[in-house]
Amino acid sequence: MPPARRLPVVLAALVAVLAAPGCDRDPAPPRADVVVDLKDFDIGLSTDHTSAGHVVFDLENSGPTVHELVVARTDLPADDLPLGRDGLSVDEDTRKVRVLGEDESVQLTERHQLDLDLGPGHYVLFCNLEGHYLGGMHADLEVRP
Amino acid sequence: MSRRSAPHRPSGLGAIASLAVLFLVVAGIFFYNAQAIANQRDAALVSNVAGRLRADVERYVADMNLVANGQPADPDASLARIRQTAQALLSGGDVPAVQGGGEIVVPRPPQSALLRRKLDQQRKLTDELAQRGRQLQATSPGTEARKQALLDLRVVGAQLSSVTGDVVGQITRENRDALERSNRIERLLGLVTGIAAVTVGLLFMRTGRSREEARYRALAHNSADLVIVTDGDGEVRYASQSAHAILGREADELRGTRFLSLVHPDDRDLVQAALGELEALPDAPVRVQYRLSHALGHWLMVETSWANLLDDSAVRGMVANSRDVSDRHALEEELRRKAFRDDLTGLPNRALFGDRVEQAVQRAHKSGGVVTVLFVDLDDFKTVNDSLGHTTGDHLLMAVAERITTCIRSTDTAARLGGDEFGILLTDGSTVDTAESLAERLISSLRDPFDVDGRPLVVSASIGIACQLGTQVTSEAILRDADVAMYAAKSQGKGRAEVFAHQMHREVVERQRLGSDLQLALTNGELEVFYQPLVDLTTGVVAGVEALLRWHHPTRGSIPPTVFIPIAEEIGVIVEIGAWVLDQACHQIADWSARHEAVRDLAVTVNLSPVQLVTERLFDDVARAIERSGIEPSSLILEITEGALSGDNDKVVAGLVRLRATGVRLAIDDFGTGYSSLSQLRMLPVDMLKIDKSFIDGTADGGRGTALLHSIIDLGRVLNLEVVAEGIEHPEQAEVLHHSGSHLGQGFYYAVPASPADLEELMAKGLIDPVRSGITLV
Repeated sequence: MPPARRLPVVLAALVAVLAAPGCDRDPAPPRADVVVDLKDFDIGLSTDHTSAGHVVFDLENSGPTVHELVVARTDLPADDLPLGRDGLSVDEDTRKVRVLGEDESVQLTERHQLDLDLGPGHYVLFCNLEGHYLGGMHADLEVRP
Repeated sequence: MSRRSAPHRPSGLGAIASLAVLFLVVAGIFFYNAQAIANQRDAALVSNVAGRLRADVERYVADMNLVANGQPADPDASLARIRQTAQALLSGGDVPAVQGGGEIVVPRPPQSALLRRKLDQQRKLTDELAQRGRQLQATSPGTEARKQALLDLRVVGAQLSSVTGDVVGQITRENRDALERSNRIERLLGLVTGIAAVTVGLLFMRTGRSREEARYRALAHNSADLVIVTDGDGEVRYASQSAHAILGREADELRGTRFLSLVHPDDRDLVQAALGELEALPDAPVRVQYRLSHALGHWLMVETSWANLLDDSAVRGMVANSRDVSDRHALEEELRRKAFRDDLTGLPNRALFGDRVEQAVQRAHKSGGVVTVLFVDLDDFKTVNDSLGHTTGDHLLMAVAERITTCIRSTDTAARLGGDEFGILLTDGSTVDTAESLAERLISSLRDPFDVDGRPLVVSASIGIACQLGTQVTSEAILRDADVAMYAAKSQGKGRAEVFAHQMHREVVERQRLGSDLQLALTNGELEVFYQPLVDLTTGVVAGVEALLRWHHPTRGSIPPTVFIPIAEEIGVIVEIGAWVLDQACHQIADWSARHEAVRDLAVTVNLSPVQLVTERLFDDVARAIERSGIEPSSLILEITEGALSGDNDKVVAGLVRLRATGVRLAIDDFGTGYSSLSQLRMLPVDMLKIDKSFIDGTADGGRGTALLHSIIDLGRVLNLEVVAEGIEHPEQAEVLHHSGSHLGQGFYYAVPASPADLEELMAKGLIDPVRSGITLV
């Protein structure tokens, strides 16, 4: 192929490569112990209990706004967690609520995984963004031995 | 250029297309940038508005709280802006800008589905917020319902604030993503632009190069000149089609050959030197002329302009643009030959001869040898030329040149220096003896009659020889010396050779000075006509006078005619002087005749120079002199020498006939000294013979001399010519002449030449003193 004809091909290939989307790939979702569906303003769990040990939470935000997920061990029911000074969000610093893990931002349509080693007990999963907890974004989870 | 290529298709369209792409890409970048900037600005405004919405929500909640507590507040204003903002963010529309000042922000409708969902949620929460506000307002102060309503309002407000924050975050993220995308696209477009620019550049270069190459090929291909491109090693990589027409060789045949193999072996150094120059100074084309081999075996002279285009991508070679200049070269050679050769004889001319002499002088200067030059001048050639015509004169010169050439050695150089002058440069090492020997051979050879245009012509030559040490002479000086020696030979009788001596130079200088003075002599009144009586030897009666010119030089005294007449002839002033003498002589005898009864029929003889004899003016001068003086034409006797009758004298004879037809009489002067044959004498239209003095002198020994004199006198009588004896100095001579039957005579014995005043008494008497003559008058 004469150089003059080869040039557009090379150019196109180069453009194609440069214009290609990022190399991020969505890995196949691992096995999840608990699927957590976050949405305004509700948290749905695939199950209300799981086994103690390494627990994999599969977080999915159905939106339409951003959410977070806080996993806290507490003896309190999900809808009775102590609120902070603003009276609108859970006080995560209280002894009554021991936060074991969280994903601070799950954007709409994102799917995150949260791996935690949980001992047997009662757990509450909630979104502590402003007004979200009080709006109803909390759920109870029993971790069984 | 090394192979024949397919016809080139111009790639101009490709370049134009590439340029269009480049333009579009650049325009796209510009547009995209403008769009991105606008988007960024909008995003910032939207973020600000959205951020304000959060503040408005908080204010609304606070105002509702105040209202609920009975405090004055205006929550509706906040709510209205919240609604307006939420609506504007979701569905478009204007909203006051954060910075105030009446500026309006018109957010663009959400571009992404995510944002739209968030905004939709925001609007819903806005509605819910309003509803919660109304519910709050519907409750009674201090009641649980109000407390719950207030909490619900705060929660919704918080949610709305959170959602608004998320909206702002989403806008920010999208904005960031857009910015990143924009940056990435800009980088991409920049890259594309770069690539496009490079492509366009390459295409343009290629197009330009192709065009240039195509143009060059077209020029070379169609050029009438021979275009040859060689690589740096001198191998022919390209030859134009004109190779066939010029060299008789096909272009393909030339490719791959060594260029120098086509060049004449003697010119190869020249070409290599030119190429060397070209490599040293690539920007300075070199023009050189040399010979190229033609297929038919002969050599062509070409003029080549060499250009070093090794760095030119369209050529990458040394380009020789050659033009066949064989014809021009031949013409130049001819012109050069003409510049250094005498057209008439083919001999070297004065310029080339001077150069050869100069070289010989330089060689002799180095070797300590001598340079020998001969200067050959034909005697009286002017007379021949004027009398026989220039064509015959030219033919004679050609014949003389041939004869000179046959006399010299092949290593000698003969040249025609101009007119009837020839120069001969002898081979280095030649001596005076060699030169004298050659001069004798030349003189002898030239004396053999030439057959020119069917006429027998005899030529005499005077030769000057100069032989000088190279260390003591210059080329100009030795030529001048030979010239001086030649003049010396002429002044000593012509037809001879003289070797230069330094005193000759003085003589020549003297001669030149006399010439200069003579130019002014006439106007200065330094010339005077003397008269010597012609006497009737029987009666002593003055029958006539001979006009004789005298020059009274202001510083040198009287200069004899034998000295100044040849000079006057040489410089041409003799014509003017001759006319003056004619006029003077005619007037003088008219005066004498008018005043003195004794000389009423006095005649005057006037000598004519050969130079005068061939001029048309002579006839006018004679007629004018007769007319002005009023004498009878027969009273004027014009004397010519035998020398004037040498060679083919048809023209001279015709002139004499013409003169005689006017009534004047003609005399042959110095008869017996020339070579006019007696048969020729019979044909001449003359009336008088003047016997040369040498015959008169010859009577002294009696015998043979006297007999010869008698023969001449008898001849005159037979031819019915008057005979005048010249140079009578002694009474014995007068006696002999008287008894020989000669009627007229002149000489010192009777009267010396004298001025008219001195002759006045004699003229009055009209008779020579018989006592002095010693002759018994009858």
